[in-house]
Amino acid sequence: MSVLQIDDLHTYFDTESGTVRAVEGIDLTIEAGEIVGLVGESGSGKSVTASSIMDLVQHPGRIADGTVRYDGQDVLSLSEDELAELRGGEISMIFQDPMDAFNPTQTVGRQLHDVLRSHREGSVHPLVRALGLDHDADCKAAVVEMLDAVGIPNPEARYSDYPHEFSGGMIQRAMVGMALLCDPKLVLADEPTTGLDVSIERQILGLFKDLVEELDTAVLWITHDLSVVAKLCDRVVVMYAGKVMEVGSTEAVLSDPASPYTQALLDSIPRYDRPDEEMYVMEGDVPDPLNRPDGCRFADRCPEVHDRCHDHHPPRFDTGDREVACYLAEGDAE
Amino acid sequence: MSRLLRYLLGRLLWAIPVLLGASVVTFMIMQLTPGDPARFILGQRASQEAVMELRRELGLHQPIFVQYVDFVFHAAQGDFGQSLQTREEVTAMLLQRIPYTAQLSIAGLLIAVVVSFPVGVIGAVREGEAADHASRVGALLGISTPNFWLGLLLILVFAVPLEAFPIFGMTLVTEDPIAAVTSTLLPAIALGTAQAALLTRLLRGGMLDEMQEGYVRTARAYGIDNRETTYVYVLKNAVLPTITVIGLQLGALLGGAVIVEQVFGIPGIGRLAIQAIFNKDFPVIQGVTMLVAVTFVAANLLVDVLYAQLDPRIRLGGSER
Ligand SMILES: Nc1ncnc2c1ncn2[C@@H]1O[C@H](COP(=O)(O)OP(=O)(O)OP(=O)(O)O)[C@@H](O)[C@H]1O
Ligand SMILES: [Mg+2]
Repeated sequence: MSVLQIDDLHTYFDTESGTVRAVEGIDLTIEAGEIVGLVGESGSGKSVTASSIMDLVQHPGRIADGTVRYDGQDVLSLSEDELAELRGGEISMIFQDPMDAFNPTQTVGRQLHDVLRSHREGSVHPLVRALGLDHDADCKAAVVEMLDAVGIPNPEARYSDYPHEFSGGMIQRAMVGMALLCDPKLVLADEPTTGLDVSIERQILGLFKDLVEELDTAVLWITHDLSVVAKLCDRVVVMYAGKVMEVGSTEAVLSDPASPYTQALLDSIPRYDRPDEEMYVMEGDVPDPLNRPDGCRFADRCPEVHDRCHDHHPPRFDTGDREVACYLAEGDAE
Repeated sequence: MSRLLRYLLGRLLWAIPVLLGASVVTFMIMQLTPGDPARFILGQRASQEAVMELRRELGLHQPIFVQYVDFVFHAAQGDFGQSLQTREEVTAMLLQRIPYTAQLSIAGLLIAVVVSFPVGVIGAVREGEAADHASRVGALLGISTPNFWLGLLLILVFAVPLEAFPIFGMTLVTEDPIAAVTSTLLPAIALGTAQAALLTRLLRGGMLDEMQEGYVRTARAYGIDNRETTYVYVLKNAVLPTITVIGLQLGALLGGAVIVEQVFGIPGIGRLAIQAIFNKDFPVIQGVTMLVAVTFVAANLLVDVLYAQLDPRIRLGGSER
């Protein structure tokens, strides 16, 4: 059984100017011990997909259709109490904007401590914990160890620092630490290393590799950085305007992209080895989420567009090593 | 020096120009009367000798700058001269009345806080539900009810038929605690209702804003109990700005006290001020004005200290970014 299985997920936001169809029919599975990359331009719906998996989408957003199965159970039908047990325990999320994710008037260590404490057996009443009457030495030691593991220097002292005393990179590492505290079975990592310097990034990638090796954890790794995908991920999902354009093994998709959109993403990576070459810039804009085309979402920008691309968004064709939502792949479909 | 101490010292230094400004305004109260202040005080029919006598007493014959320095010099020692009406020391008159206004204001504030906290929190937690609508209507009523009208209403409905509540006057808590409670309750309600309504709205709005913050989403995403998040962290962060407003509202509170003291016949600073204004008793007016200014500055200083204690972003200095 897959750790995560998403079928035909639709997540909409009912805004004043209309319904934003942020996610429109995503299918995605992740097996235990697998790291799956999720890439796509800004606004393609990566973060919304991640919050939908934990049923965290809030008003004005709603999950309009589809199912999310974690370990076989239908996440979207669980009660808040049942969800609270999964969240932060078996499934954890690394938020894209970690500085905002922490409470400014609480120490960072305490916030990690509370996560750990609320998932441990024999938990006290939450209000007792909240009043600070519940300092657990074991939990504190575990948090300090974790802060150390994610590369925060002087973790013992940093435990009692407030978020504003952390640098951007350090608070990001603390966020990663929070996600890994309870030995999760599934981690949804939304750009966890964006903006970190290379050595810290390598350290955190290593941490995830160890986690996967030791605990068979499944990871959804959202990123803009295809080089990280190449280093880390077993499979990659390419998203565009709420749809999956291509999904397959990292090796296959990145070395020989089948969707023109994947090709365009790869082409827009600056090449340090060939600095003279003019950088490729994708023409056009991401379609307005309120007013998306009926046909292929990428048709207006696609260099290989055909007439019928404007009629229907293509179904996904299975070509053996991947699935591609593009009519170009129709001939190769099995 | 610790950051907190430096912060507080900075705030304390700020109080100096504020108080100097207040002293200029207070001093000018008399200077700005049309024509000769002494003539203005004594009236058209007073003799020329009496006017000259008063001019000397008030120091009006000196250059204005000398008068001001003299005023500040004495005011700094708590000396505002004698009442023109009763010949009493102004400071003694103030000291005698401060306890009444203090008891009334503190009780009014207490009522405001005790009412607004639960009502504001319930309004936020049950946003859009019946309880929220009720709390919002209540707050609107509270804000739009004039305190003198509310005071008269309370007297008519409670004090007149029920012997427990006196209609007139107020007993100090140091004299008789029980009588103090019964005599302070109604005026304190009249005074505190508008404040309660304001704080309710602020707290409700603050909590709703706070609930949109990223850390609330994080807490939810990490399975932390919703009650813990709402009643401890969200509440605490929403209370912080409310504390500042309480300090700033002190002016409104004292202004309200002037009227409520009048309605309930309480011998406090407000009543003293009104009498002094009617009698053109300038030394007393000046004394009251400076007292209010000092109270305001002191209360806001206290609020700053409290705020700094509660908010680590201030206690430990601002963000480095
Ligand atoms: N609360 C919201 N209200 C309205 N629209 C929203 C909301 N949250 C997300 N959206 C819309 O959903 C779409 C997908 O957003 P999402 O944050 O998932 O993009 P993303 O792929 O994560 O982009 P990025 O790479 O910039 O993080 C966007 O068009 C966005 O405007
Ligand atoms: Mg995102």
